[in-house]
Amino acid sequence: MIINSLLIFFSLVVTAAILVPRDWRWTLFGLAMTYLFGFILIVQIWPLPLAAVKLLTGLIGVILLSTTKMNTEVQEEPIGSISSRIFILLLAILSWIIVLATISRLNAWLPIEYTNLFIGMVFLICGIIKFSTDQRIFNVIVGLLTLLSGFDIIYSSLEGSALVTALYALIVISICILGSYLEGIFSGEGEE
Amino acid sequence: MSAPLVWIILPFFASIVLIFFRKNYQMVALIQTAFCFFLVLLLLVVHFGDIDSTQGLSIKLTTTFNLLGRTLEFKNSDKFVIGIFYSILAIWSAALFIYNKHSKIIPLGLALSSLLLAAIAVDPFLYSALLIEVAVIIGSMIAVDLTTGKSKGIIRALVFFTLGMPFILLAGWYLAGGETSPVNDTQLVQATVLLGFGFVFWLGIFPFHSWIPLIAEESEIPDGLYILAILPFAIFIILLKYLNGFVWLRDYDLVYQALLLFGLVLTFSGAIWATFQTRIKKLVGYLTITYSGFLLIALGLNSNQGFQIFSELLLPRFLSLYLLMISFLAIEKKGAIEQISDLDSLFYRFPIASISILMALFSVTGMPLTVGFLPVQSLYQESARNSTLIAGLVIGSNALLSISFLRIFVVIMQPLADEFDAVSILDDLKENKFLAAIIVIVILAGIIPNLFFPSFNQILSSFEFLAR
Repeated sequence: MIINSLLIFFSLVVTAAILVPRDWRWTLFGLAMTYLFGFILIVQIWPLPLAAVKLLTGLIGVILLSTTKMNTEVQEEPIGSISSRIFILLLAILSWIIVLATISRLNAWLPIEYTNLFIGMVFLICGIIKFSTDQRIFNVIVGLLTLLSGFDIIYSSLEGSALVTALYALIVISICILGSYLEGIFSGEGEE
Repeated sequence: MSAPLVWIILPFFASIVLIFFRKNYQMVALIQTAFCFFLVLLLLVVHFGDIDSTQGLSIKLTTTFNLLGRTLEFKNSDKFVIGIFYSILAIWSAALFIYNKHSKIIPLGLALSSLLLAAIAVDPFLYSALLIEVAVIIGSMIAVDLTTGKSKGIIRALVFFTLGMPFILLAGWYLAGGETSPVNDTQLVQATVLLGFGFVFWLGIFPFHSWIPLIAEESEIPDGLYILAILPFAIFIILLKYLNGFVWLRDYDLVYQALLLFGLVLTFSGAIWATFQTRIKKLVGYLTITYSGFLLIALGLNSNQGFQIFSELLLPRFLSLYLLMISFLAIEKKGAIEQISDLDSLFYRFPIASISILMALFSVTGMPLTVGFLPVQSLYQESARNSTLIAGLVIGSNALLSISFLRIFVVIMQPLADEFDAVSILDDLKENKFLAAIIVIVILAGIIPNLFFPSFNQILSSFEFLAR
């Protein structure tokens, strides 16, 4: 019970780390944490090797994105102000409240562990907020990966198969490759 | 040997191998074209599953291939759908070879086609959502144009398809036990809503359509049009598979009403945006939206005739996009075209390509003597039988498009102001011959519809419960 409450609390901190800071390092740290949380939750239902595949592919993806970011980093003008960060934080808090208010009804429909459903929904909505509030390729890709990470926590609790794990891993890696490809190309052009 | 191994696994690995030889682009393009034609021709001599003893020469292939505990399965009735995927890739690759146009379709098109076919063949087919997502990522890699630096359309497509995937997967999980056993009314409504949301995202139904014109505009012409030709087609086949697979879903009237509504929204919104469009590539994007609307309306009619019209509408769709692609390739060799005004007096500079563009555009609206005439007329008739409002909206949308195309016709035929050097079609003889051949096919399909259309009805043989 205490562990579950701690997991839920820290998942909220992780979403704040993904959404609020401007520094891409914090964003990727938050993304890596979502994969770690996913692993902790999924390993309770699935065999260790299958859960580890999800963690490893997620972390490989994070490394791919961070490598690209390090190689293409340009001095970006800070976009938006402190008020925009407060707005995003408030948006995140609103999403947590919505999840909290609707989770029991959702749980009746999706019969999985409460913690898994809550954390999955929080990550999923965090992903949607991320790619809705920022149009830059890197942030959209991180948003998509966060959304997928959240959905994976929910879906893995419902259905477990080697093919789904393999395809999910392929999707995560492919999105990271596409993100690195686009980020690398278009940041490079912007630099010239 | 199994059929999925030949038409899914082999092309996928061929695509990976060909990447390493891409420096010799023309050779790889030729190999891909030949390989695709070979895969299509092979379908004519093979039989999936047990061979009927009365049949002549036929090679037997097993129908299933096991992959990580799940199955990829092709039935004999799927042969036509497989043929369409590789025929489209073959003619696209052939055009790229003839025009010597560099594109990532060579060789990623093979991987994309094989993934889309895997999404159609996977059993249980709720896994198709994951395979579609992988295919969309490959499609995004094909569609990205490194020269323009624009990626808005690709990113939007990726976002919308990713948003659609969870809905389809959850609906699939929800319905896993409902293939044979009945589900209660609440479950039925919930599952239908989930599926509906998934397909709304995937098919680019308003307001999630914005990636379509953006990809048409931002990508290179062959890449963008290939994605717009092949991706919605695969989604439509998966939609049919869902309708065919779940008895309660295909008997649920609300589903067909929703298809009709979405179809009308797509048709009308696409036509309005196309009419006011000044950028030619974006206009083509809106045309594909309108045409997807026609296809949805045909399905929404929920009749034998409607399903038949759906299959017949596919031919003009592919041929129009192909004609537009090769005409733009021919024109862009001498200079880029962005605005409709760039087509000014085009007929005097590129007579065959101009005719080709006009033929493609008027095929979409179903003008007589074009390939679109028969299916679009049939759609008018069948929708009028269903409701005059639906027929009125379809005809109204086509009227809007026709006005817009007449405007393009006037621009293309605008006399040149100054004296000009007469052009000879012998200048680019190979390309012009190729264009002329496709125009002849389009006209032939319009004049003698029985030559081409009946074979397209074979698509329905994969969905035995829909074509009653």
